[in-house]
Amino acid sequence: MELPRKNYPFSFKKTLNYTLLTAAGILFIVPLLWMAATSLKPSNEIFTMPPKWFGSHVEWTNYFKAWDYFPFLRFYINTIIVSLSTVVLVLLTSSLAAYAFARMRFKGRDMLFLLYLGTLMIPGQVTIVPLFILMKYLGWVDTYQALILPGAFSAFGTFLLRQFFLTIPVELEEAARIDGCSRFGLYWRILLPLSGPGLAALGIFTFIGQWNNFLWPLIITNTDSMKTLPLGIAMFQSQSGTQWHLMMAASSIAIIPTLIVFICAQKYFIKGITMTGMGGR
Amino acid sequence: MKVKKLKLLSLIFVMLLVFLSACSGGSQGAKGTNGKKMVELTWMFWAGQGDRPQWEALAKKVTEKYPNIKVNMQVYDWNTYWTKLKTQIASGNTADIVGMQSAQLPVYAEKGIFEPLNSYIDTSKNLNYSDFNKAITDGMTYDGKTYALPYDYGAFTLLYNKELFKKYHVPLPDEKMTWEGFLDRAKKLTHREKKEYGFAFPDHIWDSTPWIWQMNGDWLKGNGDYKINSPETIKAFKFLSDLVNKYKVAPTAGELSAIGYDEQFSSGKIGMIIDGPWTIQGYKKYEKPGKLDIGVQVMPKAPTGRNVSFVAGSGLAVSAKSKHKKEAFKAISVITNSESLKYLAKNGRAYPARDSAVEAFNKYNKDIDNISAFHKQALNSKAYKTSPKYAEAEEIINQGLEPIFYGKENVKTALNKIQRKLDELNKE
Amino acid sequence: MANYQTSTNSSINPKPLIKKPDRKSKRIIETITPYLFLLPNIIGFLIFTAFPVLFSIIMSFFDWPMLDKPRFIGLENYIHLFTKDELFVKVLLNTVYYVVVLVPLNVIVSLGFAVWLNSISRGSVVFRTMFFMPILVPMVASALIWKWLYNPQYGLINGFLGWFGIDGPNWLGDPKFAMLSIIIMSVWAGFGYNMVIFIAGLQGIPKTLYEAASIDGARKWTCFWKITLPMLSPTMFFAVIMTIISSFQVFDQAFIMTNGGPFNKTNTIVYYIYQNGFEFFKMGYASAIAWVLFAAIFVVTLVQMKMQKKWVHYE
Repeated sequence: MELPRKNYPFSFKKTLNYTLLTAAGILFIVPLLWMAATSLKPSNEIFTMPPKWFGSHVEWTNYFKAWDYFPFLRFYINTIIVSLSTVVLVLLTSSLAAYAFARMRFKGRDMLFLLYLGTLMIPGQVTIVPLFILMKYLGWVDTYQALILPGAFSAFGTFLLRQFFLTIPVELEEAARIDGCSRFGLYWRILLPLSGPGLAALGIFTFIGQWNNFLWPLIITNTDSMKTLPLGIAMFQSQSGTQWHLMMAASSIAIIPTLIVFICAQKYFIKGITMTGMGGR
Repeated sequence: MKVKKLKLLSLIFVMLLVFLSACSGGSQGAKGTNGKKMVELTWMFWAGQGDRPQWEALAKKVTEKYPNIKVNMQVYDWNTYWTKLKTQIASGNTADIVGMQSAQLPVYAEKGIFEPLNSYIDTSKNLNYSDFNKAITDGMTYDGKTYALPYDYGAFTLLYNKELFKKYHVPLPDEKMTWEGFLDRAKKLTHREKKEYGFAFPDHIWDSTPWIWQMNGDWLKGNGDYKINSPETIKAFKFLSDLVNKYKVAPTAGELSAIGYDEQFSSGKIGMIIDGPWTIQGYKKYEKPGKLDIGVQVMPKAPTGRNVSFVAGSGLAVSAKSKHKKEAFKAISVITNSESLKYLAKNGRAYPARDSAVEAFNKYNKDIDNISAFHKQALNSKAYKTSPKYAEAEEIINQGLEPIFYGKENVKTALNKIQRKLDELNKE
Repeated sequence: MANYQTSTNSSINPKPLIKKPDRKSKRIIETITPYLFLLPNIIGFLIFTAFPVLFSIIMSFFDWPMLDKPRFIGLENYIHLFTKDELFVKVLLNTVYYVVVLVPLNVIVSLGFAVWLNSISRGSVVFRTMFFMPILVPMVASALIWKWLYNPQYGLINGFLGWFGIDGPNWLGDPKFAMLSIIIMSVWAGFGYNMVIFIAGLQGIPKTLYEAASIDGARKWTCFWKITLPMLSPTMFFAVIMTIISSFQVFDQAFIMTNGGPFNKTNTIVYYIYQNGFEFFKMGYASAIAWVLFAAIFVVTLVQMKMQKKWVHYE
């Protein structure tokens, strides 16, 4: 009698696989462990030589100090508002445009698409001054609009979703079309639900991009009531050196929301499999 | 699931709308206490959050003295401040009061960004301008016009790690120490197997300048052109290069690229460095477990008998485009008055630009050996002068100095190469 | 459907799905519908992206010292760039070296982990998160951490090499190794993005394909080459193009970790643009460099577009 392999309670191959993955995983997060370790060191033990993983004692107060150092909560809320609004706008506008690029034929499409791609090739360092002048003209300096909108119409997102849509078989849409479904209906009811993994990926990138965005918030905000977390983290640097232990503590706090977003978005990756609707579940 | 998503979406948008409307309504033109129209000034400045409350306290002092002036701070960290400032200026959106450092000043002064303050200074009654250290008011002056009132300054001076001197029974640096005596001490302090060095110094023009001046050299000509390969300058660099390459009493540029000289000094591996008083606060942090016991001494004397150093510092300028220049000047004269500078000194923030406040700094740092050496050195120093093309020249020079301190090129060849590039820049 | 398959011969030109209905009004609707879909994106795009980009073209024909009035100088910036600026050539080569080494490394690592993670049944969420976490760390923090790791005497990397009796180099301080060190760090810091894209792509591949193949007795390796790669190719096309574009613009690492040194070995185009614009006050010149960079990336991207028909497989 032969049992199917899957049902063995212990498989050497599987164990090896997981052991290797764990090893690789740990290797990749060593720098992060170092960040956490530094955030718990007393201020005078950051630059010991040779470097040590642990200080003479665990300095939890670094976290309280970092929190009190600048209006952390305010910066936190600002960053959440900016990041979430950008994600919503990007997902909406990019998926609409990507649908047109992927599924329709119209005059100037290829040119327009190249133009979109082209703008990604100009580094932000030279467009930041014109953009700032524009914001000043609009009277938007130091506002949420100015923080959100420049990132909300993404050529990157349009390209990503277009490529993703192209991998989705068109049969379903065709069937719905015959049933009299409108273009918007095809997009909204057929294509979007099938694009869970792609939308989740774009959502994650947009969120993290905005969350860690530094140069633009620096340029466009003036008052503390508009500043975002990366600007706060940079404030641990001063003319007389950087307070690394506090900066690492602040960085550790700052990655929590992005971590949560990533873990939540994973759900949609998995959902994506079952939704592909090809009967292969 | 879908309903939930919709709810979340609408929540976000409502939040967004609330915030957008909340931030668009500003209130301008409120009345001051005595019925005069309130003048609101913006003050663009660099500060870490550690020293920020002190600056904000000074901003409040302005309103205490002049109830119709209110100063609103816009604070950025030191490293990004300059990018922000340039973008604001480029779009014609400068704050009324702008933080300025002496080495950066000529760039902005030449372009007319700041208001010359000479007439304000001359007509001001309580300013007591002569109380400011001469070298730093010089540093705040470009082409005969003064553009800022300084709050701090400092001369590059010798700092040493007392612990290491004691450990190896080396006599502490004294005022009479010559370059030779300096080298001698550095040799005794160096234990390369432990990665301990007598001296450490970054291969930058900034840190080399006192040594160049002491040999009677200079790299900036009166007309703003750069000249780095004079025989005097070559001699100075030869000495510095020998410290690294010949006597090996200082780490090479390669070693310093991994951990900076200041961090190595902090961790107790370096006997002596050259640094300004503004760094004391940072080094003091490492003192608690008795690891870093710092002393201060004036610079060693060059073969010429000179031990001159340079002074750099920071101050506050008034934007030429400001609508309230008079009020802005009033505000900066409060922020830089003797009382304010004493307050900053007492909190360890700054080495005061006014002689009358120096005592407060020394008192605050009395745990540091011979702290008054900063003042002695300051009296024997010149302003670190730059020109409008400084940023580019500095980059050329620093890049060119690298091969010397990597031990890849001899001093003369390297300096001649730099000069060729500087000549092109001078021509532009 | 059949004509959809053949449409891969034009790079960005998937054929319309449905034949137009004959009624005139319907035809008008058909014509404007695509533009309606594009509208929300295009308005914002024109204002917040196209305008600043156009502005920067114009800037590149000016001597614009940022703090002063701009002065029109025609092509002088470009002429200077190609005839007089020795450093520019060096910086360009550095950047090309970075791109050529980083892009394949990044794609291989991210694809490898994506496939690996996709193959395990349990715990994939945990591992995915682990591998993605480098993306989440603010650049200032990770740059300092890597400086420590690279420390020649005390860093973990040389400590590790020491176990095998290898005397590790002075990673960031040695001109021979500096750029390589930055590349290694960048792979670590950036591969998570592509990994996530590949995972999203892999999940879109219908399982039926694999089942059919396994019935035919195909082995895992064959499945990878015959099913996974072709099905993933549109996503890979995206990932490769984006990685090339973004690595041509590498900046943060050089800015924070090495300041372009030693000996300008890690000075990259965008770092050079930043130096010229924000340190030397030559915004016009900086814009000119940016447009040369644009031209370089554009050509590479066009070649990619032309080449895609050879390897990208649209469903």
